[in-house]
Amino acid sequence: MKLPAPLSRVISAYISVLRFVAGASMAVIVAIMIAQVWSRYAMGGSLIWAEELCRYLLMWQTFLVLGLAYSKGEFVSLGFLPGLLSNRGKWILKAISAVPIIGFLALITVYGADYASRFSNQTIPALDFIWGSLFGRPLGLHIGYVYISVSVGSALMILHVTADVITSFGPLMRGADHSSQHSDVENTSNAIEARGEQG
Amino acid sequence: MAAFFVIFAGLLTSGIAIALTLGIAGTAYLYLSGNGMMALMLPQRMMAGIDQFVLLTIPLFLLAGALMNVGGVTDRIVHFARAMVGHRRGGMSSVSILSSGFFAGISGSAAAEASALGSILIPTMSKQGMPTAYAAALIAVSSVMGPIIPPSITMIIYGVLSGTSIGQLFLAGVVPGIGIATGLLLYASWRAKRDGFPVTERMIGRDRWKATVRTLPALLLPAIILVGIKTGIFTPTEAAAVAVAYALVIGFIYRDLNFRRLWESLIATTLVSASILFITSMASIVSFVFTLEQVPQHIADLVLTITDEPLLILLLLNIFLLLLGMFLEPISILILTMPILLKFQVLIGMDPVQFGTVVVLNVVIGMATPPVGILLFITSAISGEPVTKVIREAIPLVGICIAVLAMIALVPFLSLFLPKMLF
Repeated sequence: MKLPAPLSRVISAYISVLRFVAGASMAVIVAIMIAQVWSRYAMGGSLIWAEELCRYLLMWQTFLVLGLAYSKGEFVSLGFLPGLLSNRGKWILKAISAVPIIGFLALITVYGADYASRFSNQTIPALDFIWGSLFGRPLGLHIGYVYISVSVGSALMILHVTADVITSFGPLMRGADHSSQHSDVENTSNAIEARGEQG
Repeated sequence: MAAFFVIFAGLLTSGIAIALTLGIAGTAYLYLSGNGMMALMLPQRMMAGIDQFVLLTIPLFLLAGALMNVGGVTDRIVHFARAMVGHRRGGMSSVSILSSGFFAGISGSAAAEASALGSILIPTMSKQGMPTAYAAALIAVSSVMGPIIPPSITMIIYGVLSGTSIGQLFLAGVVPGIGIATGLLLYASWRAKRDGFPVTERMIGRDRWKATVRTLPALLLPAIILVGIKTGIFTPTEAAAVAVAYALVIGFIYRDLNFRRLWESLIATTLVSASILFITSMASIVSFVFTLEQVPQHIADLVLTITDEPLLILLLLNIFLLLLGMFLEPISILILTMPILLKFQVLIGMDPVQFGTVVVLNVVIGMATPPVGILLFITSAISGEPVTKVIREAIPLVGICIAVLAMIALVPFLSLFLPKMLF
């Protein structure tokens, strides 16, 4: 399916940003943990904020890239039913199964935001400590900004699930084998990857 | 209870991803059992399922494996294994098993191992005249060693959830790992003789020595990790970061690693890790729902009405875990079943380290067990052979693993002598 140019640009920018977040957050986690071992062993003192910060990074990282992982087919499924169906049947099944998926994710999006909003009076200790040592005062960022990751991630995943259903409509109805077709999101991300590998 | 499994099975067969199936079935069950207002707790449970320091071992060990892979370590391991056993009849099958064993000392994950080694070794084996389905099955089952030979993500998770010493669990995995490798090697050479697989010529002495020296740094990693944890230089979680640092250093020493490959590995690892962590977060939703409904207690009661004979309970437990292992990924099984497992461990009075080894072996072997073991699907996809053919070849191989499992479950000495000696 051909997407209008502006939309296609937005998608490709979105994927580039996510890929950057994925790579950079992973690099930062590795750096912090190595620094942690190093400072305890060589400098004789632990970084007290290291563990906490890594956990928060891991949460944001995981929930942000979930949708992209879904579109790239990283999620394992064991469906026997799709294998028995025609292309049309496969698409209908996919569209029907999207209903409980989106319902569930919507529930998590809403309740997740509700949950995060309850923490406006609790700040993030690790960032307060780092900010305090650098600038002499705590940052005061509240911990809801960590917990909202669940909500944001679920909302993004709804978009990916919807995009998957819509973009697989064309190829399946034309009778092409879906396994050789990629959704537009995937094509864009693969194109970006290919560009990256050349560079 | 029954409602949960009906929904779960229904969603799973219709092709919804396992992770989402867990979450949806758990949530649906929450509403069906009249606890709908507890749904507000779900996002919190999901976060709690990820917000654990030890879970950082998942992306980190995956990253270490990926870096070793692009950094040329995998090639060197295969080359080294060829130098050791390549000259035997059907040499490449032995090479595959030995490579898996060595690779297991670097990666902590069976799926990563199956895809890394499978893409190199399955084509090589079939080029040597072995049936491709056999090659795929061999890689799938050999990959089981990944989480058994230290380091192991699965054992770290088990240790943290159950409060068992991770260092001791790591050591306890050495003997079963060697046991599986030996069993598979024996089968491979019997099979090679029976089917007349071709012989390749022996490498000359100088080349074998060179291969050993070139691979040595990679093979040292498990030792570094065990020593580091034992002496308290780093925690098991930090050991994963050390493994990454080590992979970086030898990758740059071997000069196969560059910044472009490093960056791509970081991104790819994050995507895979996110999808695994999503399963753990969904598993903790189900675990929360189960706990509300006191499912662990009910299952324990049910088993006790059948038997109170420790060996029989152990057998039932093994079958149960093996079945779960076919559908679910090891870490989520541990999250789901830990309350039940700990009850049974006390009930049958087994040493915690031995019990942990048995459980981990169980769930990991489940990953290669037909009809739905995920490792079989991975190697079938790599090889292009239909999964049914791979399954047929895998049955005797899985049988060997189960025999090793039975020995570990019945003879405490096998898993315990190393931890007892060194800790």
